[in-house]
Amino acid sequence: MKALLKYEFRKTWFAKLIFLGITAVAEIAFLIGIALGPAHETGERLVTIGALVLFMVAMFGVFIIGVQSVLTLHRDMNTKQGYMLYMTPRTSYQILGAKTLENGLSILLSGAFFFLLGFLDITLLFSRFGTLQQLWDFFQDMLHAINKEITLNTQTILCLTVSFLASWLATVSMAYLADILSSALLNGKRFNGIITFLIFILLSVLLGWLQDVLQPARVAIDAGLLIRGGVSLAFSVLLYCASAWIMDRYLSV
Amino acid sequence: MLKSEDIVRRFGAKTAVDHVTLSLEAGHVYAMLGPNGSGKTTWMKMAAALMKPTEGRMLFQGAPVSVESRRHVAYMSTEPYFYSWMTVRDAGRYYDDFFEDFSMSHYEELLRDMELEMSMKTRTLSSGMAAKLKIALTLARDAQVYMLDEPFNGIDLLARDQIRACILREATPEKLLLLSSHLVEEMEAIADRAVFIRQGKLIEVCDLEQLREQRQQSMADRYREIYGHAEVAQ
Repeated sequence: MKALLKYEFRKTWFAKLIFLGITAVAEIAFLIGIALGPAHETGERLVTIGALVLFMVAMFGVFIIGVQSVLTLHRDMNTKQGYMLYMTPRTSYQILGAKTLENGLSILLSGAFFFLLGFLDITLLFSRFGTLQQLWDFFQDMLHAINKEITLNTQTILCLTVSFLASWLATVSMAYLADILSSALLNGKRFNGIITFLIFILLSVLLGWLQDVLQPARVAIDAGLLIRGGVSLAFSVLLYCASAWIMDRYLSV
Repeated sequence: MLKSEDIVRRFGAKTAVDHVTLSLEAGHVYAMLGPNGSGKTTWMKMAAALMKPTEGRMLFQGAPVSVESRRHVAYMSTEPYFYSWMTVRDAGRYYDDFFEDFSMSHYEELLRDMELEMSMKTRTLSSGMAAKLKIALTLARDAQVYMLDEPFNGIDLLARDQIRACILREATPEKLLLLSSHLVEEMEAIADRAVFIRQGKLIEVCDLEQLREQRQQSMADRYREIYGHAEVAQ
């Protein structure tokens, strides 16, 4: 499993390195802007650009990590490089497990990294740009007026992040299953692409329905987010088992 | 050692391997022969547990082939399959990470014989060099069965000599070597038994010495006899 994980990370490290590079440049620009302070025009500009780029990288980074993972699985099942994996004495459960684990860890670690970075940057920003704290308070009051239960604090943002990451992991697992069905069972059949897409949509609807059904009617926002995240994770585990079973029984390379 | 029992593999309406029962023993070098599309690669892939049979069973040491048998069966596909980021050294490390029977020092020896360097990028290798690399990786394993699919494909005469010498060095009484190729004359110098397959069906397994002694035929003569007649009939 260790060797499989090592090579799964190796297959995707280049894209991650690019994201890290962009993040480092944006963070440096942001920190220079903070150091220059609100009185300096260039400082404000650097803070704005840096924050914007960091936000974009955080959003797209997690998204692209998932998409890249699905593309790698697709290549491993449908091109000659698949021999590198399937000729090894490793079961489909181990092969897919390494892929899922690598993807889950990458999503989780990048999510945690950007959450911490965001938290530190925002704290730093408020300490240097005092007017922003007033703007934030105004925004909070507005949300509170709409719904008394909504308080945008660190805990809620953390729950939101966890729920989002778990949902994304479930989405990637659904794409895995759809792709495995397409490569192992529907390969060469008519309407393969459409059927695969429909299966993916059906699974997404099923996950949404499960989240709605399993979330109690009266529950705090934070708890609700965590329940939805938990359902997503449990669903991912089920999808993994089904996918590996299909790979084991039907996939030929 | 390696046995297929009434094995069938279908791809939609096409039957690639059609009820083949075949038993291969250790201590021999088998040449698997047949024109394109006769089912050689499909049979090998099933033996390497890379492909599931539609019907029948593939056995290694009496047990159905599985992930476990991949520990002892070294398969080399006809197409290059390395990850694009790999160097020759990375490819060796990869095998070293996954196969307990892989020997890095033996790999280095084979690379020297094949005139390949560790720092070479696999994506920039010529087809001949890639073929030599695949062979070095496969033969650096101390496996019980070696299956080389078209090891001489697209490579020049000198490289073929190098490959042939390496293959012959690995042929010991405990090991089974199975090679497929279109280059029948080339195979005659390596193999001691031949498996003839046509349109997915097993035609014959013959001992080449017996063939020479009893029928005064070479492997190439027998090949012409089997497939030449088929082509005329078609």
